Amino acid sequence: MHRVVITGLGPVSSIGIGADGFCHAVRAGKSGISRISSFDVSGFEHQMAGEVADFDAGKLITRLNVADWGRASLFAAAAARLAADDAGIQDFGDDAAVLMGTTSGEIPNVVAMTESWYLNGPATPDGTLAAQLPAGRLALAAAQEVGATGETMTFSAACAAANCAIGYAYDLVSSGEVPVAVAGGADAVSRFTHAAFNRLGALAKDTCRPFDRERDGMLTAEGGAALVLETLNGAIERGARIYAEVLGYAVSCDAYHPSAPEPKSIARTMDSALRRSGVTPDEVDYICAHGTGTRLNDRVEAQAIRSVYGETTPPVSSLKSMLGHTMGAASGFGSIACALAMSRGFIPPTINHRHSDPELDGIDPVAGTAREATVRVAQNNAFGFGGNNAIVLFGSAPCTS
Amino acid sequence: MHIVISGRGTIWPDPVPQAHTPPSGPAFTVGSFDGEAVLGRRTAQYNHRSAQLAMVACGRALDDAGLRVTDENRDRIGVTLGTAAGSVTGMVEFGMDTFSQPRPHMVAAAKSSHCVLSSPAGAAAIVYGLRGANATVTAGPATGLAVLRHAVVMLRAGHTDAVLAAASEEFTGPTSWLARAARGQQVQGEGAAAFVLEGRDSARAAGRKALAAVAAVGVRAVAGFSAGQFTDSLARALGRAGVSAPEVSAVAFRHTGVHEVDEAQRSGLVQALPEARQVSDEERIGDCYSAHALLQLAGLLDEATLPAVIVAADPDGLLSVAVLKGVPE
Repeated sequence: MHRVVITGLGPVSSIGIGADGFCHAVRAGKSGISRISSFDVSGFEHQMAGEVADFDAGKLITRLNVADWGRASLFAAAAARLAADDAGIQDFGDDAAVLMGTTSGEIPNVVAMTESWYLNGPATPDGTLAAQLPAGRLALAAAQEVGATGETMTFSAACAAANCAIGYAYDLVSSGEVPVAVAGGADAVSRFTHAAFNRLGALAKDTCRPFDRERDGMLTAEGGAALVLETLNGAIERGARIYAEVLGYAVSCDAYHPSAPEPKSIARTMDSALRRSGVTPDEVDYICAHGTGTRLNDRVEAQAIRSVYGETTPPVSSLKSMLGHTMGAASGFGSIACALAMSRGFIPPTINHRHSDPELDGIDPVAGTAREATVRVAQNNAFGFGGNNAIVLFGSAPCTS
Repeated sequence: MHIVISGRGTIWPDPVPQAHTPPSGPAFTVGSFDGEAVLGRRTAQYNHRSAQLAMVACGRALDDAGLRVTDENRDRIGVTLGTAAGSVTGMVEFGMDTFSQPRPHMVAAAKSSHCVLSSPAGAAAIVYGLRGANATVTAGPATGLAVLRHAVVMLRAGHTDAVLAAASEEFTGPTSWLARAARGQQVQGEGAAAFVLEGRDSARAAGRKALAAVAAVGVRAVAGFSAGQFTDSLARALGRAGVSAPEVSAVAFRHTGVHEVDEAQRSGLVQALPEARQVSDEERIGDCYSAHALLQLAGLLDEATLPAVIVAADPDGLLSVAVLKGVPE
């Protein structure tokens, strides 16, 4: 088994683009929430989301023809480009794997087709919209952007997708099948996704307040997140900066309910992730929560954490307080935040948190502002519709001198 | 670790293509399929046709393997499903209300999971009680082989002891209109194929017969298509599988509809596997796109002598090859 480390980070988010911008924003507790501008929001009960308003794919992407790709694929490609540059790798070639996760792929294209069918009746849809639609193109866009011609696959596990992709990349690199992989996730804000969460009663009125007594839901959001994973030996050989180590991961399914999470199953996944990573709960310094801000998720997540960690749970914060719920990219951002927390010595905050919730007793949500701290082991939680759970464990960068 | 197939379940389309109302074209459809009758009304109402096809095929594969799901093994049985873009029809059915209703969020809550590509994998897990690693993979027409690859990695890494690996393709209004716009005038098909994959030793210990070994499978990005790309990929896959080209009895492939790619494929297959019987299956199932390769796998298990090879090319830039071998008793 090879040890696997993270040497490149590529966040394309509503609060910052690139590792430094994103790190600064997370540390400062910036909010990326604004009124939706990518579709006509009139008539919707809830109108706020975390859009990457200043996303200019043409400025970030160097190889792809931007007009050929949908928004989610461009998020994936831009994130991969940033991660590759951050890792200092020019060309990945034949040996690099590219894995991307997504919840809904290029769903904005389906929205555009549906609107045209609504207005004009059934017809063959626009050829460009149709050609961009296959979700396999997310990983393909990232691969073509960084010049990788190795294993390439797009995953969905609803909102646990990026952790599935990162975990799969870990399996490939640790087993020696590939020396390097780019992995993460991407999704775009869409009218249909927004309507779905609105209808399910899951959307916050205007502010996402994970773990707060008065939390009233999540906010839909978008972005792309990518990480470069490689063998420790490879990273040392090329003198790469190492952010963190990937210690292991676990994936599972509740097999219980199409949308509601299940605490026992989540606890089982946590146990399994810790065991597979060779980590005991007392060694974990930080949990980057799924933390959607819905009443049910936060209660179930807290319950699962307490059942595994007992009385002394590590700090638990939610990036979704800043970003909203970036769907398939969310656990990619969580993984990036864990890598930054470990390499730069801080714990990301849960912003907008005002009142502790007695129901979540024992959970320290790192309310309001980031905390200076040494993080040696971090756990990144991700849960999705369909009962998908994926949890990744990170360790601080091995001493390489 | 040797990975074997110990069960299969299929839903084949009817053997004669039926005419459909424009803008749909003629298609090989599963005329008799009634998801509600098999899965029950409650399950059917939450799941689109593509999900229903996959779920029923999964049940048949479990039965075929004789794999009984119990509290002892359910945590260690995973599901990997394949799809090209989820159910476009399901998304349209759900999302049309955002335009037609007086308030755009007055959509049908029961259909909200149609927007999520992975909802069929979660639904299959619920129906059969499978709590192991659960994922959905997508790689255009290479999706079926990507499913096999993902299952192999999950088994080798010890995440699961068995995986239900499946892909489905539906023929429904919007999905078929989209296929015509994206892929031209091929006669479309629908269907589903599912397989139980597990380690050879695990199958033996449980007394399950191994139908074939997945000796090599991979999905790679390629920078353009040439005959050389195909011969190289095939040589690499055969090398990993420990199979020589003359041993291969049949090679299954799919026409992509893109002339240069199909020409490179034709020439590459002839060069790499001159003696193998070539099967595209389009004359009997149409183009089943994301499910095509796994339906072909089921066909090869029925009809061909192993070793056999499956090739799936995605003109967008993916090339996938799988090598199946026989398993000595």
